[in-house]
Amino acid sequence: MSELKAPSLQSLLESERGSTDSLLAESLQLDFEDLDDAEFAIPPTDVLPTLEAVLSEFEADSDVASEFGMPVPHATPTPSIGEDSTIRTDGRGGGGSIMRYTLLHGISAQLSSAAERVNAGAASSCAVAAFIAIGTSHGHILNFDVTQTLRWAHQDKHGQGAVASLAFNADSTRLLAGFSRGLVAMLDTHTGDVLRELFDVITPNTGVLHVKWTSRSSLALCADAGGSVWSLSFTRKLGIRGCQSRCLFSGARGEVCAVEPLIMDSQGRHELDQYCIVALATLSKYFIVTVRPRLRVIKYHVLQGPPDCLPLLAWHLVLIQAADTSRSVDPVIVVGRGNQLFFHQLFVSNGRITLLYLRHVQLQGSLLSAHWLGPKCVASLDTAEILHLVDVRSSKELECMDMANAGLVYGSAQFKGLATGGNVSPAFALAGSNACYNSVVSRGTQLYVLGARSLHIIGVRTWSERISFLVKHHRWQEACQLALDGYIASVDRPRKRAQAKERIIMLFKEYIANSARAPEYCLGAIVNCLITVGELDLLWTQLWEKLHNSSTELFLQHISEHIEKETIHSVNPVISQALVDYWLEHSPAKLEQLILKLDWMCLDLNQVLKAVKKHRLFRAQIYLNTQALNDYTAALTELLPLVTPDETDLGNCLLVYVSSCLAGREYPSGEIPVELVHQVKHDVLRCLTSQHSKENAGDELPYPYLRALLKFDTRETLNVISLAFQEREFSNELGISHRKRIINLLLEIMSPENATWAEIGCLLNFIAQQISMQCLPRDRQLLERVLSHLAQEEIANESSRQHSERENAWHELLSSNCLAEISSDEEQLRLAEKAKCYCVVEYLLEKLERYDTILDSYIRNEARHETMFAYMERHVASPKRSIFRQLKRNLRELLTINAKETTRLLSLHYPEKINELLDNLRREENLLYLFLKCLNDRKSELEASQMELLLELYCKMESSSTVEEFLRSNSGYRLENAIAIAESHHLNRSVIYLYEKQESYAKAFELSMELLKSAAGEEAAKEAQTISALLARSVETLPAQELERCWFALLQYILPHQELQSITKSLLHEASQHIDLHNLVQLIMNTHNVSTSFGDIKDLLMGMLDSSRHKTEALRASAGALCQDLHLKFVKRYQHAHRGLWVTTTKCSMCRQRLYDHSQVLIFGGCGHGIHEQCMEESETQFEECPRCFTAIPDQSIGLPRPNKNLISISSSLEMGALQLKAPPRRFI
Amino acid sequence: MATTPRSGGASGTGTAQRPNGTSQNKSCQFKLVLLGESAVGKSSLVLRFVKGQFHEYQESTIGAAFLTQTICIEDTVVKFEIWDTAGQERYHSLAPMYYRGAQAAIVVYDIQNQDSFQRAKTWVKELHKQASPNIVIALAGNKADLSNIRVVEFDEAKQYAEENGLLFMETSAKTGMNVNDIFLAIAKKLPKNDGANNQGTSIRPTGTETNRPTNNCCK
Repeated sequence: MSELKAPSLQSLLESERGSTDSLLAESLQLDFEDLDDAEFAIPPTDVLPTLEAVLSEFEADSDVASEFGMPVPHATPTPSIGEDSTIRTDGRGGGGSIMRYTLLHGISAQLSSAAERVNAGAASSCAVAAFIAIGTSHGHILNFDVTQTLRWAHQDKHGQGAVASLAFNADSTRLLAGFSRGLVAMLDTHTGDVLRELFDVITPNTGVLHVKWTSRSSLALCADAGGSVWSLSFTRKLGIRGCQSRCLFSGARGEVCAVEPLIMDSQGRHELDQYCIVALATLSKYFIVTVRPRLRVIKYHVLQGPPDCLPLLAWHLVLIQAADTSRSVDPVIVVGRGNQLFFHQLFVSNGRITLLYLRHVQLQGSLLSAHWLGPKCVASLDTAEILHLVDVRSSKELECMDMANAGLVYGSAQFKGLATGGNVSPAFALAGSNACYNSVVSRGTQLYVLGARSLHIIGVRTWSERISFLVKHHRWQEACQLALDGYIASVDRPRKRAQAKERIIMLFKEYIANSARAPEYCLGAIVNCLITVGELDLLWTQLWEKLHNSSTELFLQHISEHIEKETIHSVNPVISQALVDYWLEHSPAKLEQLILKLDWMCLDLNQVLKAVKKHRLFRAQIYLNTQALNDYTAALTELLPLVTPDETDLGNCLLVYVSSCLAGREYPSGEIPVELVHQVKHDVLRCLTSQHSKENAGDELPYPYLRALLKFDTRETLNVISLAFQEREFSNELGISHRKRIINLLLEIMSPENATWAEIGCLLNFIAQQISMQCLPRDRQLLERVLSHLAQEEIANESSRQHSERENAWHELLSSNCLAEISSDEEQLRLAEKAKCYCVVEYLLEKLERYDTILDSYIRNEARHETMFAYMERHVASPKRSIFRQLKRNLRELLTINAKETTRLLSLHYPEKINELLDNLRREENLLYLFLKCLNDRKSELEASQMELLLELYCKMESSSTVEEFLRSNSGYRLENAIAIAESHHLNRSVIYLYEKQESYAKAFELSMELLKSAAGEEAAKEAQTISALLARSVETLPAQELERCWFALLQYILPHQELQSITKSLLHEASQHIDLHNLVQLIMNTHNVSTSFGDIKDLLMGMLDSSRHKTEALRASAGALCQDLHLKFVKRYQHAHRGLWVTTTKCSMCRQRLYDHSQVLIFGGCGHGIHEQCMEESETQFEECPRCFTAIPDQSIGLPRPNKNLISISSSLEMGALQLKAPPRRFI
Repeated sequence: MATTPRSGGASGTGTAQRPNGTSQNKSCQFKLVLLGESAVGKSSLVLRFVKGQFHEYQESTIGAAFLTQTICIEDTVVKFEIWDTAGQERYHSLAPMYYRGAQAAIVVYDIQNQDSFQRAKTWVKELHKQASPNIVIALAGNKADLSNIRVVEFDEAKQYAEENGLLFMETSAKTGMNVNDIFLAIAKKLPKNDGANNQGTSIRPTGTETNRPTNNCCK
């Protein structure tokens, strides 16, 4: 055997991707030649007959397989073994119904036996295919078949340590075994014979971590503890079995922890079948690599995670719905590290293999393993040995199961290289502490978990199995919900839908079998299931017969809910009878609702019709008569005699029913079948208009049914007939005759002996409307009769609404020109005026263009008053409308109706006519007053005479306070005239106001005094206070003397009156503000019969004293201040007079002449220079500084009258610096 | 020998007890319809059969009434679902809704009323024309307790029944004469094996081409 090592995978990464190397090409060529000569052993022909039968029993239904057309992969058969109660199932997610746990007792027992008897050691690895192979820590390999029977056992003779990894090939004919000391052995699956023993195919002195078969039958991969990956090509030349190994990836550049070839098994139906694809993962990256046809890296990604966690890889074929609504079945790889799972899709796009990221799932704890269980779920085992089932599509955890009791086997020894001396990297050893690559294996929808002495299976139950599980545990509610979910989800797949339906029926039978123990709250769920799948017969027969009293009621309530929701429309007659009895007892109204929704053919008509009559369920009675008996007149013949004015519900119900029938509609909803519409209309109308009832009592009046409706509600009955007249049956010539007949019937029924005038009015208005709408021919006799009614001058008890309807009907007839042949417009006009139908009058006047009197009809029609003003406003500019003339003629009425609006019109459009109109109203003071008042309210700026006229009217018609208010708020009048008007009406307060406005305070005072003298009691007190306020306001106008006189007059009147004692104090106080106090006190003392006491004037006197004292103190203070001021000035002048003289020059600073011997000399302080007073006066300036030396002159300067020569001379000598014997005078500052 | 039928506890919910308690007995379910002139005693006949009662003044049936009764015959449990139709003329249009799909029919007449016998003949013709070809028809001459004032002769009716392949009995709902017998005779004549196939068939009145679909949708 020749071994030719190809370039390592790592070296390809460093070079350009996809390039070909001569050495690689040579290697590929060599492999191709070898393949031609390869021959494999013939498979054994002694296949057990029961094998196929056993396998088919556990065939799982895979959506992706059936969708893709692939054969369903055979799951490992599971014998029926009871559950191990020691395994705890968490209640989350599917509530324990999704994952199924089974312990393989047969295999477990034999593992224990092998360990005990032949010292095989604990289990170390396993592989599952058509057989189950388990390797042990002492190099034993046990192979079991599907019946858990040991087929053969193999023991390593070379001391290669534990069995690290096992792998079956695709057809389960070969078993590869990798040992912890580096041996790779190939065994015949059926006989256990060793076919190959390969000692040197991996890195020397390293153990095996993984052995994997690829999609090629002669190619396998092997990963060693050094992190390298080797390809093993099995050869057979001249009958001699051999193997060529080649390093694909060197551990020196990254230690590969996981290897996962992609096994398509699609038999050439997928584009990826031509490739041999492998996924590899190191502690930091993962790679997708093609090994065939040539070695190439497709893609790699960084894969980070905790250092004590290993990467995880798993492939599966998944049906993927792309965004463009295309569907494909492609391999999907799940890559895990830590608590992260990543999903990538592998597909061919434009001839290139592409890896597409799909989604990411994050779990709670760090992961030990990740395996597909079917195309939709991934099972993950975390470091706490809890198995999580994750739904890939929704990224949700469906269920979890605690596997702690399973005794999970870890491959830590292999990762630590214990068998080869621990020659592994520390990172590898650390990460490998949780390695269980070869002790957790998946196949199909089952996960195999290897314990030290046991083998456990966790499978995903199918939908049907889950239902069975829930049923077994009496979880009926969940079972029903799950069953319905499956049925609803299969809405687009008839075959699956049928299967789901069968399963639901089976569930129902299980429920029936356990109904004695089933809780009643699940009854609704069962009912819902059967209704949804349409198996109603099972409800009515098998389920109903099993129920007891209380559950019977519950059942009926559930059925009723479904009837109301219209999920079912019919029930078994037995059920319908029970429903009727039940709801008659509990709620007849609800029974009626149910009857209206049920198909009548499932009802016991005898029972139901008697019940609805007894309980007066009118709608149900109508429904059953029409639907079941096809009798649309029974409702009328049976129920109309029951109608009374108090039976509003029944009456309205029948009105709606008749209207519906005559319109071709079902009651209460739907449509009458087309072929029956005509007959139904005919029957109903004929019944309604029949002359005698069925009973035909001797004393009944003719046409009892129509009469009953009219008596119940004449208006609405006529509305129904009006709607019926619009139907097709009344449109042709025969229909017209039908109309006439009905009209005649109505007229006959509603004669004055049998109907009120209000009802007759409704009828005649109805007829008028029919004629005006061209629904009836113009029958002269009928029109005359109608017109005679419409034109009645007096109708007893006619309401305004009825009168308005009469007018409207008449108006409609006129508008449609139906009355032209009956009488002329003039006659109509006369009739309308007599009948007070002013709308008609208005219409006719408009038609006849008699505009000069049209306003009269508006005025008489109260309902048209508002429209009247709009009419006048609209036509104010049209001469032929004669608006002003009519306004003038009807001014009195218009002002009475709406003075404000009338005034607005006139002032806006006819301001020049106002005086004329005012003259017309001279003799009608009320209207004149109203007119003027409205004009004034509109701020129309009345003339002074008009304003005075308005004032006159105010005085006549309003109260004095209103007049006073008017005077205060207006100012357009002349004061003299206003005073005269007010005086003529003796409105003294208004006169006083006007006097004050005129500033004639004296007159106002005199008049007020007269009012005071005529008043008494409290009124007098108020009057006095008013006068006091008046005098206070007149301070600035009245002379002081006159003001004092007025105050004295007021006080002289008040003081003697005992009843005014309460206000004396306040008046005295007020008076003291304006008049001399001495005179006031004297007045009080001199007045005879003073009624006030000392207490009343005490404050006054004290006020006088205080005032006097204040003035005295003020005078004294003023005098003191003045004296002090004089004293200070005197002191300053005295000091100034005694100040020393300092004269520094003998010449005037201005004229340069000598200073002495002049009359007056001014000496400047500070510098000592002097100036003649005359020179000062001549300069006409005020010196602020010395004209000679420009020194600032202080405030003080001294004048010397006639200074003598000696003084000046002595002073000037000092200037020359001569020393004098006398003391010099002080220099004053 | 036929077992005496047991009356159910309530109308429409009758359930017979299985005599031997085993689950091996066959179970058949048949739809049976009563037809005939008004006031001939159809409702009294069924009431006697189902509840063992007789009311001297029985109200007229409106539309149709539904009752059930189960009897045991040999080793078979037979459940009758009985539609008692109204005989008045106004309800005539309802009859096809009930006799179509029925496995058996009892046409009732009053032995005192020649018109009712003529009406019964009309019903038989209609059944032969429109009902199921395999329908079992029994002719019942009711009010046999008043035979002293009979109008319809026994021989005449019997001959008519034989000519048309009908079962025939004169019955009396008042005395109970031949009431159970006529139902037993029908049960014996009905095909049991075919009846087993009817276990799951619809027992509602079947629709016809004149049946209007119940359209409750609001428009």
